[in-house]
Amino acid sequence: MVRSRRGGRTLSDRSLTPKQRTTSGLLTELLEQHLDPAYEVAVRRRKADPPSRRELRAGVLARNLVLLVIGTLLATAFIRASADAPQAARTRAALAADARDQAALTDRLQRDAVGLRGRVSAERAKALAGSAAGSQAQARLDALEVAAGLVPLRGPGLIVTVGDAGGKKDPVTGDAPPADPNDAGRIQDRDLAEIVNALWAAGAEAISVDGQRLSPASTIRAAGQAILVDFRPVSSPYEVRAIGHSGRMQALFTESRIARDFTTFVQLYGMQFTTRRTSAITVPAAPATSLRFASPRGVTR
Amino acid sequence: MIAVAALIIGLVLGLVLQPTVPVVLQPYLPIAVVAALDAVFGGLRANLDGIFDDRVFVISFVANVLVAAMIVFLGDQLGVGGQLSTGVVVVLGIRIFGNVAAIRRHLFRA
Amino acid sequence: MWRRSAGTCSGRETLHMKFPRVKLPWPTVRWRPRVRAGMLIGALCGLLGFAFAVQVQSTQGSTLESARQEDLVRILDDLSAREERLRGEIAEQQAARAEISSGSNRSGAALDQARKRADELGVLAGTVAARGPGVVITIDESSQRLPAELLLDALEELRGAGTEAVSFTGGGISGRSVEVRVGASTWFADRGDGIAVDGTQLTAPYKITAIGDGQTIAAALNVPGGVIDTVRRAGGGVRVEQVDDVTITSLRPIKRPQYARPAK
Repeated sequence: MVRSRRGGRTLSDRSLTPKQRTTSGLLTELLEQHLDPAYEVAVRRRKADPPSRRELRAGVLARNLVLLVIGTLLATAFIRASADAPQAARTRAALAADARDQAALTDRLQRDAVGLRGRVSAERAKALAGSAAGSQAQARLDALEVAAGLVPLRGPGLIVTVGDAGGKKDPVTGDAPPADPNDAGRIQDRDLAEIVNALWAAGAEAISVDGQRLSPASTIRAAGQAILVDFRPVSSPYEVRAIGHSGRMQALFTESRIARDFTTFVQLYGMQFTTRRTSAITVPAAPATSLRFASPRGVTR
Repeated sequence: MIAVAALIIGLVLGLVLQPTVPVVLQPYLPIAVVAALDAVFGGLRANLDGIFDDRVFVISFVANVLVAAMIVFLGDQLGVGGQLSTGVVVVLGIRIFGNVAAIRRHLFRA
Repeated sequence: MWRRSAGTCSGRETLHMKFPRVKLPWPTVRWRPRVRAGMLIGALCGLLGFAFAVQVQSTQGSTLESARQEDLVRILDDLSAREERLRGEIAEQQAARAEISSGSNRSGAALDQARKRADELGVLAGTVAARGPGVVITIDESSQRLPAELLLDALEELRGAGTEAVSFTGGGISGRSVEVRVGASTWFADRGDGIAVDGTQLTAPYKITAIGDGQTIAAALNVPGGVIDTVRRAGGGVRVEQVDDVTITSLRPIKRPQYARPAK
């Protein structure tokens, strides 16, 4: 019996049955022999029967032709693949990357818009400071800007955090599985809207959801399974900040129907739901909306 | 040298002419590419080993492509097209890996 | 390079012929081989650890990773709308700045601007009466009482359709109909026989007046699972009427926030 260095049985082991020899041969051949054995056979053949000049030339020609064809094949396949990319469904990853980039862009535009708004306000305030009518107009404008959510605010209040039930992840790729529409453990846009509703009812003066301030025109809506606030996607866990009297708000909020429902959901579906009082939270300014259909009527100055 | 030139000329021709592949053959294009790569790397390794032969190279390329395409076609007819093509790609991939490793051993002595 | 050899050269000799040893143009440090190898191994392990950490971080992605493909397309659409709106705002602000920073009548222009802007914000915030095209929605309930969530959903749908001023009208406690203007902090709760809107009790039938793009609003309300669908399933009646001109006169009081202060 011939033993290899690794101590296992080799092909020349006579105690192997023919069947075992063939089976181990297939796998061994796959894992060890990558070069076509025809090359070695050809070497022997050439030694035994040297080829003529004509055969040599034909061989070179055939070889170069084949290489030409291979080059064309590779190029064609490459073009095919890259032409199909826009037509073929782009992978989720590519779309998700696009969405991330677009969200980052709109965040930057928002910061620019708020900054610009601030500078214009400052200039306007300077121009109005001179006259009585100007000061009056400025005061009214200030109050309305606050009422419309265009001013970042700070104060004591409540932070309500809600999250989807446990994150399931594919152990190999680390990706979360595609959202299941029937998953009861998933927060929906209605849930967030009802939490916000309960907070307003509890006396909140300003609310933001995952960093998006709620203004009179703010929308909380769903695109399929994803939630968007003011057309910006937000992700679980969702942090809802409300500025107001923290003690009173917490008492009223926890009594509300939605808070009680959620306490049940935590036990039933494993969702996350926490309410925390805090002495200082900030909410950012909302993006402004201009009126395209409505016009003011009968305004008192 | 002419061999490398032939390959490059083929690439350029393919990029410039952009030949349209008949729709019937389109599903077999990727597998043909993998089979062609296997033949190319096999030839390269044989050359570095010193046992290259034109005839073997040409026949191995043609046979690889035809056999791979036929296996995938048969698989499609039988309903196991996806699995068979995966199998073909796995086998060809292992061979490419092995040949590239041998080439690496030649080039870098590592 | 592709010369066909006659089988006389061995592999190693072929290698020597083709790849002569290259001399590097810069002086190489002559460390002990073991130290050099150790440093190299350490550097590679460090790289591996770094790559591992980066990959772990990136897989803790946001909801966007797990959203379905069609959802992502809608998200992208919405984000484009958001981008457009923000760019519009920036352009308007730049125009406003140009108005008040140039010309002779600076304070006059600033005064006009401030008043106009205050009026517009007033319409949005519900402190100024408004007029324009829009819809009037009438909701009747049958034996089954309509819940507060229904009106909340209706308001969210209207906001999503771009309404600029909304009011809810219903039966008041005194028997006469009462109109409540909507603002950012409008809330709904079941109370008594009906629904309390911002603390004011209303009873069915409810009338919602909204100013905005009539067609967009009507389309948004008619989606399956939307307000119209829900009311009809609950046995109630709902009618949506697009109007060219409607006026909302009810107002909300401007409340100065007691706990929130402007943050700088």
